Amino acid sequence: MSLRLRFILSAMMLVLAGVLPVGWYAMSAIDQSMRFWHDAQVGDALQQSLVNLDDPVVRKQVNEALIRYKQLGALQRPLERRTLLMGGLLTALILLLATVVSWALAVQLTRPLRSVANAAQKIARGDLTQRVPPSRIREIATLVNAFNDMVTGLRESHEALARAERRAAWQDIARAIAHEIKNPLTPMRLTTQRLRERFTDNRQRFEESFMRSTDMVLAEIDRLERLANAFSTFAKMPAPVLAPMDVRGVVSDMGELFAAEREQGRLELLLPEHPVPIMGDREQLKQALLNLVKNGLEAIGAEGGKVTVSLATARDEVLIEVRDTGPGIPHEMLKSLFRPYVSTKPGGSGIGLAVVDRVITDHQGRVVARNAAPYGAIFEVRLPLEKRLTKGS
Amino acid sequence: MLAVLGIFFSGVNQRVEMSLPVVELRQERIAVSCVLQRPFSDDLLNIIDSGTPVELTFICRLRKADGTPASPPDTTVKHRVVKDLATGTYEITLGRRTLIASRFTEYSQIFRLETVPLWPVGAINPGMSCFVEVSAALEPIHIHATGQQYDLMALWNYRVPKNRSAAFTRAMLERRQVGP
Repeated sequence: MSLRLRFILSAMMLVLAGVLPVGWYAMSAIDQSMRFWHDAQVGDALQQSLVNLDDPVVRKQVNEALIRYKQLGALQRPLERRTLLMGGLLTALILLLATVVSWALAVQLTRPLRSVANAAQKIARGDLTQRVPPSRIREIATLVNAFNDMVTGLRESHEALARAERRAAWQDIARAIAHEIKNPLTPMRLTTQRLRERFTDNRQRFEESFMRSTDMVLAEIDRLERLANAFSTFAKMPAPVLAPMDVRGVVSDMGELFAAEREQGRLELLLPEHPVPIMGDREQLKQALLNLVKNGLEAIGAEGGKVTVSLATARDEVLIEVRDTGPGIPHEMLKSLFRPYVSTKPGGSGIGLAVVDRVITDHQGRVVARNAAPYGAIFEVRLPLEKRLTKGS
Repeated sequence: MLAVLGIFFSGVNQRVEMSLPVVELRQERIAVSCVLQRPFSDDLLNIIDSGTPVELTFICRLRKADGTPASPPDTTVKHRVVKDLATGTYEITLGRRTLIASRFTEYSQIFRLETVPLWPVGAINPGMSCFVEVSAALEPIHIHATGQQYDLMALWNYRVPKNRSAAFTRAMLERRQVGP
């Protein structure tokens, strides 16, 4: 039973508790007074006098008195009934008024509580800008103030945490980039030194050595360039252009892009028969799914294993699941998997999953990774169905 | 509580109904007959027996078949009963007639209209289809002790009994003319 209903019922009970005894007492009082005036002996005496009197004037007076007296007796019950009816109507009116007043009070009381509940729901969804308007009811005002203070504290903590996470992420990236740049520098330095030694000490095999050394230096330069390009692509990624689309098309495209793997049975697509509409940027979603499928295929390797891409709807969401039968994701990497430059593969740039996360987040969706039992990894992408996305935008 | 309420409301009538009005031609006038069914209650009998004058008004309306008023105005017929406490007789007034009755069965005719001529038959055009609607209401009484009035319609739960006759034409009336 809601608080409002409890409040109204309490008010009605209080009114009834007050009105009914008073009404009952009033009815009893009326009844007693009417009985007091209706005495059979008086009536008989008046009747007797009327019959025996000769004086027409006195006779008329007694007749009127007798009518007056008898009328009281005859009207006792109708008048009591009328009083009861009026009392009932009055009680109903008071009850109605009590209901209206208690309803207004209940609304005044529960509105701030609803605001707190609504704000709490929005906060749970990540909106920490919520504030509940102040209430004039002291106890509720205390609750609202405490709630608003809590939200402020939560927001500050959240911002501090985000700052710390960003700093940590940048530190990770800076460390990884430094490591990645240093890696080719050592062989390049050694090669250049060896080349110089050959040039001064042993001119006989210099040409052969020169070609081999410059090949190696060029290969390292290529690798550094690929790395720089990957970061550049991630940084320049545009905002998605949302349009109504059927997600099945994006998943089907994977079949065409990885036709050979599909023929070999290394890739399986599971699609529903009905359309799955969303508001999305087809090219960006295709890129994100391509990265996930490619990662999965790389995880299972050339021999055996399988990647399964399934598409389904659940409530207001679209669920795309990319499951592989590879070795899975190291536990310590699960939390930071979608950060730029975090990769489980040797020599990987760590940009692919960061792109996936960015695309899906831009589509108001979310992506999570987990290990499957007994082996393998699952990437779960959730996107809002078209209706919800339209409301949100 | 329910028992007390039961006692209180035992004096109230069951639904009072108006019988189907019968329309005839009498002395070249449209005459109406009808009777109220279940008009009495203990309370109404007690009030009449207290010597309080009780008046009943019949309202008769002539209507065209589509429900619109025909040209003659609505007509009221007043009936009245008052008991003489000295003699125990009832003085009954039925329109312009006054008579004395000593028994309940006689004064109960105040709740009846019996071939009462109301409108000249010439008021309805030949071929025009009409009906008569009759309703009845008890007049309020004066309470001597308080100087206030009491609405006797409370004894009928404030419901006005009403009924309408079968449709008729002037020719139909002329065929069933009754004597004076």
